[in-house]
Amino acid sequence: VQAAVSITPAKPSALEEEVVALFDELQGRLLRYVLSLGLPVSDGEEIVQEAFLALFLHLRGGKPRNNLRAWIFRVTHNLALKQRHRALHSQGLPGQIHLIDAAPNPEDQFFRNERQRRFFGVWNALAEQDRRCLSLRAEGLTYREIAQVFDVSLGAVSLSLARSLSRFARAEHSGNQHR
Amino acid sequence: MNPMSHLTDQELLLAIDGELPAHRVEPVARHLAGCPSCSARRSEIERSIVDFVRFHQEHLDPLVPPPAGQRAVLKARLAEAASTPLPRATYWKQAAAVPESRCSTRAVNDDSVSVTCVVSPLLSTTSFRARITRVSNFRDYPAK
Repeated sequence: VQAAVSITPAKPSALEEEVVALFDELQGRLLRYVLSLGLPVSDGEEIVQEAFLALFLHLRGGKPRNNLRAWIFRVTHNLALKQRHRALHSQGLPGQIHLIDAAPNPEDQFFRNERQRRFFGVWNALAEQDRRCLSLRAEGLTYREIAQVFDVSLGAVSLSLARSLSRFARAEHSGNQHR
Repeated sequence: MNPMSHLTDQELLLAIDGELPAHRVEPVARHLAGCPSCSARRSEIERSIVDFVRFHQEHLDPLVPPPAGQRAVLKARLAEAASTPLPRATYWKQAAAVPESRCSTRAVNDDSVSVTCVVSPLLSTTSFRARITRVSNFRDYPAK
């Protein structure tokens, strides 16, 4: 049996387009997650860029494509922790999110600020790993994806989230009683 | 589950997020239907999730710049990375990963078909022929 074989060069642009499409979908969420770790926007943008470049090289090398969302969050998380470690040792970081209020009137603003203070109180009292789990939950990741990002069990994720959200619920409950 | 024992916060959260193991879905739903206390706790946790997500986004969204600039930077970096040759070992992996679906076949006559595959341009023709010979008996290939 004879076969005529013609070879067409691979199109790298298809892969580039795929990575850019994932960037469009996830960039905002990844950046918010990095900011929630206390890094400045400029560092966050650079980390997200690096993570997508790593994704491109990962896919180009023919490596597994299963659960790319968890993969990109895990790479971003690791890069952010490295950057934070470097920054803490060089100039120090605020580690806090700025409080910005968009409440429409002074009364609403008063209650809103009260509420925000309670939220910040709970947020700051949480263990760091609990905050990270909660941030990823807020970014829409499933428990399985969160477990993959931190390399922990599903049970550890649900326990962490339940612990944190119960604290928020209790704080809100006691705040409503004082109103 | 003991029908009298209440659900834990963890179980309530798993129920809200649709993450309960299959065998727990029915017992948890049955308990919630008959227990006002757990139902109220479930609502509190649900509210906390909504509040937290709002809190998280309200405080971080104003800090996030529009993505257009970063998108353009990424495209330029990807183009640059794409022009860099892969290590030799990677070519093989890439060629080996080409699925049959990316090959098209055309009948030439009763005994032969023409096969067109998308492969790395840097994979040597000899290596590619060797691979084709190993993986396919062309008689089994569905001619289009």
